[in-house]
Amino acid sequence: MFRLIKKRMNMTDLTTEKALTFHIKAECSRTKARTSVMTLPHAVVETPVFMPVGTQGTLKGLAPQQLDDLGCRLMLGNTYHLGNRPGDNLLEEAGGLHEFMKWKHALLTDSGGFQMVSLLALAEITEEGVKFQSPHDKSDMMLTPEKSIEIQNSIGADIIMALDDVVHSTVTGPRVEEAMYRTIRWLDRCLKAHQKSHCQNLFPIVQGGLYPELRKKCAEELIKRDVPGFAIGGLSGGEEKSEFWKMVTLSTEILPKEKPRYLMGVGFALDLVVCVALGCDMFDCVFPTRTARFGVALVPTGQLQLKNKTYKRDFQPIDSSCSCSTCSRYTRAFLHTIVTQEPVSCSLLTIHNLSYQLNLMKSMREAITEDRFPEFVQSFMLKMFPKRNYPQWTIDALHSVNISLS
Amino acid sequence: MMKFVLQSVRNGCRIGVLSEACPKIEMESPLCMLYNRAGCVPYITHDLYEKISGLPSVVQMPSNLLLEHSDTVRDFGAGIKKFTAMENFIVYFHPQDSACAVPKGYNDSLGISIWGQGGKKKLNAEQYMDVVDAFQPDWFQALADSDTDQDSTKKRIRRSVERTLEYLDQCIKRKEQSDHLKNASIIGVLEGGHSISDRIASAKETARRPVAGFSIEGFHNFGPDTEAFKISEIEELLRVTILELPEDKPRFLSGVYNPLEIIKAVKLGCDIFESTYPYVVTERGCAFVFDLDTWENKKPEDPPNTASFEVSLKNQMFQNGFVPMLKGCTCYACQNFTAAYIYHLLNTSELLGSLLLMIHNFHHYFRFFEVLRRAIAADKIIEFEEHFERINSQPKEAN
Repeated sequence: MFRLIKKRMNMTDLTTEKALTFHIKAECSRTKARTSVMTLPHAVVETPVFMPVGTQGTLKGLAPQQLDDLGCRLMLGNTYHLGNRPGDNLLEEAGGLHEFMKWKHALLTDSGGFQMVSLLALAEITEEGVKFQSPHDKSDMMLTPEKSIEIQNSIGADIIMALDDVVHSTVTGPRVEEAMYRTIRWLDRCLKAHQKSHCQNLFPIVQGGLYPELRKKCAEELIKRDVPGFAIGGLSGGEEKSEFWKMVTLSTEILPKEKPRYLMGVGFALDLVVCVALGCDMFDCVFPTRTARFGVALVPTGQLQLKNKTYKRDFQPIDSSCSCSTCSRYTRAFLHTIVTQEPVSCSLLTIHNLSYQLNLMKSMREAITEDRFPEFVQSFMLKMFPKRNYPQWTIDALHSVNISLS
Repeated sequence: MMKFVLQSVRNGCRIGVLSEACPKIEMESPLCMLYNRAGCVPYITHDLYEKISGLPSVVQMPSNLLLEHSDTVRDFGAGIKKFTAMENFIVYFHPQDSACAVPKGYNDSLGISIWGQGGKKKLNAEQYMDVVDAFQPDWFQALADSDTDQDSTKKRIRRSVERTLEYLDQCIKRKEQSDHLKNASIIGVLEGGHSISDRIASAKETARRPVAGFSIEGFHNFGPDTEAFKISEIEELLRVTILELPEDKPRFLSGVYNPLEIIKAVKLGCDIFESTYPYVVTERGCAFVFDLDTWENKKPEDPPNTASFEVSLKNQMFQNGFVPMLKGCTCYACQNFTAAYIYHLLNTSELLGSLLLMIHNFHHYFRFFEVLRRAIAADKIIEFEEHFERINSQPKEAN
């Protein structure tokens, strides 16, 4: 245990004792975009950053070395899944998730609450916590804020999330307000229970559904607490995009500039670009890795469903401007023969899709650094919508930060 | 064009050097080939090949999952090697996949049945050679009727011998007419089921043809179950077959064979084998654990290190096994990950689990061939065989 703490402390910023430092390197002169360097116990991460999701302690079909080679320095693990299998006790015994999965860079875990509510038919939220039936033996169990932090302490991620009362973004009425206030109360319980603030950073999550006043109130309350960063939650579920972006920009307006903003569950390339413009720093989404399993490759113009007969005789790589190991070797036609048939195709497409997402983030960081981010965004949008049939919400969102789409 | 030079024979085992001009590669035999499915190494992407030490230079590409894409490869125009990004390997193309059981009774005068993702395809020699011509492999097996086993009738065996020879002649003719296959090596297939006289006839006749090597088939219908097949059951059949063969051409024995069976086959004069066995073992969630390092120092009465060739990583005893799967193993999986992690991956059906097992099993199997060659050269093949006999005769633990 001591050896672990010692190792982690060696990797923190030597000038402070903090487990997270966040230095803004450059800000876009027109939008709210910024590029920063975030130092965590296990890695130095440049933001804006996209975090691939390795749900069960692995990224589907990739060895950690491959993820490292792609330039990934921060990835996600899901507390609900890991708490079940292999279990927090075993992870503690293994020396934490880093050691168990041999990932030497940074990890972020969620609280477990979201999955519980979305995966379990009989999850019930009380003031105490989330009551649910164990998926194994159907016995009654309770995930409290304290328990969530305890499990996340065992897993050992660099960034951990407070247990929040997540309400689906399409829910309306008093339930939303109730959830928002409970999230604040649960945050305080999480902060109290957190045993490892010297090496694990606890982020609270701004809730409030699609109600601006509730979001505002929630953010203002969270800011009063001494936390190293903030997450914006409850916004990746199927709500109208026209509402979505307004809640994002409202949150980044209120949240302090000098701390990272993590927009949970986002997302598609289009969402990433717009939300970077709106001032978000960190993102996560299962989409690039999940869609790879179904034979879908991500490209600047959108997506390719490689199972489609269209690609039978297409002898180009997925993306001729991509330098990933999949694109440098294989044609769409070859991939068409193996997608959804041979397991290795999953790995090949995951490598490409992650390369695409991570390179997109890198391009944005470079554009912000060189203060040409608005031009980057316009160029990106034109590639994705050559007929200029931009979704209205993107026009509005980008306009709000001084980017016009002609 | 394949070239084989026999260097020495010790205790029946042949030490040879196999070489190919383009790509320029030289290999020692006995050797095994790298198993491919649908043009890919199972589970392992190209960038991880370097993680497998002793990676073979020859890739075996069975036709079963590739046939339905032959017109795509034809239109691609640059052959299967470039299509699958395997240009640095020697590619050996052959009809059947020994890891998949071939249903009995589906070959007839119209052709040989091969099962792919889209179902059954039946090919005669011309159609098969159309595919070979489009694929442009370095080596290829002639089309053959190997659908015989210990229960086949004399009539059926005779027909398989005759049909296979007809196909061979047609394939040779097509090869000579093809620009793409000028430098390719054609491998003749030896049939005869479990009939001594037919085995001799097939071998004699095939040896008269201008083939670069021989593949001995027709004993069974392949598939993972043939792991239990014993070379000792066909010892005499192999002996009479090999007696008819020239010594300067390699002998391929396709099938799912564990180390003990490989040794027995090598002692009878076989040279080239497949790596379908590591794949079959990986598919059931198991890892090789047979000892390759301490056997030389053991006395005959010492018990072997392991009770089996493999262990199941799905066994709950590995749940908190925070040690490598196999102690002392130098493979990427064992050097970096614990058995507990691999147990977790298999338990949660995560792809990385199979990936790591495949790397380990390939690594260990290729190491076996390396140790085998050294044992032959050092005149220790008998001790090496006894080592595996001891492992094999242990009472099997419940997996």
